[in-house]
Amino acid sequence: MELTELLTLLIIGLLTFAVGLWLSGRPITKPQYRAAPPWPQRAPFLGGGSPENHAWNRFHARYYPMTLLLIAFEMEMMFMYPWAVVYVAEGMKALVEMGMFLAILSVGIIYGWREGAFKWQ
Amino acid sequence: MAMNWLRQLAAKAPVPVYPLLAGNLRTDIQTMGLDPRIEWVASPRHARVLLVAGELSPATDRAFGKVHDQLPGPAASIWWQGQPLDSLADGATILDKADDLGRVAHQLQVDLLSGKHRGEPALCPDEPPEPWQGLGDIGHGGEGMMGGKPYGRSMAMPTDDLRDGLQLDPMAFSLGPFCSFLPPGLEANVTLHGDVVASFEVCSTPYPSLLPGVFEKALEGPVSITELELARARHYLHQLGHALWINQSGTVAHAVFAKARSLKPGESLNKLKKQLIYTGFYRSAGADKGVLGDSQALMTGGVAARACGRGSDARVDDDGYRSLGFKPLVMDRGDAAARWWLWLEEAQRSLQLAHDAGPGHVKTSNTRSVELLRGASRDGQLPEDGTAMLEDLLPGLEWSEAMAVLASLDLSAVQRAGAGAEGTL
Repeated sequence: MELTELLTLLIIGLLTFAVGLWLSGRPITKPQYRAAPPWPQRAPFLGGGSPENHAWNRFHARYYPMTLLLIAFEMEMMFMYPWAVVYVAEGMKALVEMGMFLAILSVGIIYGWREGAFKWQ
Repeated sequence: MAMNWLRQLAAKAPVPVYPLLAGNLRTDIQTMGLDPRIEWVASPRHARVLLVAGELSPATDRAFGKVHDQLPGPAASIWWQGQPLDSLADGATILDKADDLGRVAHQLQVDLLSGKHRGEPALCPDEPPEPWQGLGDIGHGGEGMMGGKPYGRSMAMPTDDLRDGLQLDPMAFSLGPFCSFLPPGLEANVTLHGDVVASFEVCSTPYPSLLPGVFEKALEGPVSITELELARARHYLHQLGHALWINQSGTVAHAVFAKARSLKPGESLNKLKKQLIYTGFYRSAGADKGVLGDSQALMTGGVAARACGRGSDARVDDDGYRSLGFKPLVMDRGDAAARWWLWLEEAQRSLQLAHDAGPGHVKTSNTRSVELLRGASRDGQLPEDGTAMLEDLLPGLEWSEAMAVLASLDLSAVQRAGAGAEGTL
């Protein structure tokens, strides 16, 4: 049984290899490499203009507002799961505490909103 | 050479064409793009055919070579309203009539894919434009933190960023004169901080706009208001279509160009108005930017000035227009969205005026003061180039906002083409 399976696997492997070889249409001993594009095509398109300095350029992604939002929402969820268990036992007291917690986090979200964290670019 | 079936299928697809404008022919190009056999692309990297529209000047030969060589080969050029360069003149494809572009471009694509046309030779040498400038024996060492100038271009040195003063690298480059997203012919030195324009220095002004024939005649004597207003409506719709194209609304832009081609007096543009509102065009990036100051508004004139509540309309000085109850349209917001809005409103009002004037019944009467497509001509003075204001208007804007603001302004100088000469409409 195992020998049959191995043979089947071998046949499938050989078939796949043969089809791959046929599709590529080239002998395996002569791999084809795509020639690099000519130098003018490697330059950025600037409508006839040229870059003045190298493209290795340090600019800031300005992810601070987005990080702030992530932390605000993540903290919210992190505490909400255990709170859901405690709420059953504590009732109104837990609800008020969670309300205060969410109010504090909301300040961060509102600040992020003001800073443009929700702005799609 | 026989074509395999994949190439045959590829040859049937619309031809990707990059329009290289060597004259202010954008309106004509937009109309030519209505042919389903061609497709305008925004970069030569995506094109198979380069359409060179207008006469190239020797000053732009280097820039032309750069754009030409960025088409992936095999590629070829079509020359329209200009002579081919000497180096490409052998077997050059010259277009006589604009309507033939689809047929000619399609045939060129078939020839390129079948191997009948081997593609045009490159104009720039295939070597690094800025070779490595290291100091050591094997190219190592040199200036800057990299230990060398990579490909001869220096590394950017940190400067204060515009937004929060972080020390970051600016990116400096020159743009144009063959950028499809800038006014044709405009060359600028741009510095970016991230995606924010830090400086925009105009090096070469755009090609002047040629007055359409009917406006030229209006400066000489009475002309039919119907004819004049139809040309005006067509121009504003083309301007609007370009702004839509810049905002990546190519399908709507195509519909606007198609509408502009077959305008009829009294036609309603309400469907288009609703479409632009529902697609959020007036709320796109940059729509609320580019508010002009007093001097900028007066310099620009026309719709841009009226969109910020300043400036007037020379048509109020004309008895012909007064007899039709003409009143200028004015807004007070003055941003890019206001100009787009006013272009459409002006087009609608022009169609109404064309209808009310009847076919040639009401004519203009004032040749000393004529409202042109961009501002007024008073005593034969034509509007001058206003692109210098971009140096104050664009810094501080994000790139997409800056391009939207640019697409809301018509700043090129206006020039007379001579009576009977072919205008852009």
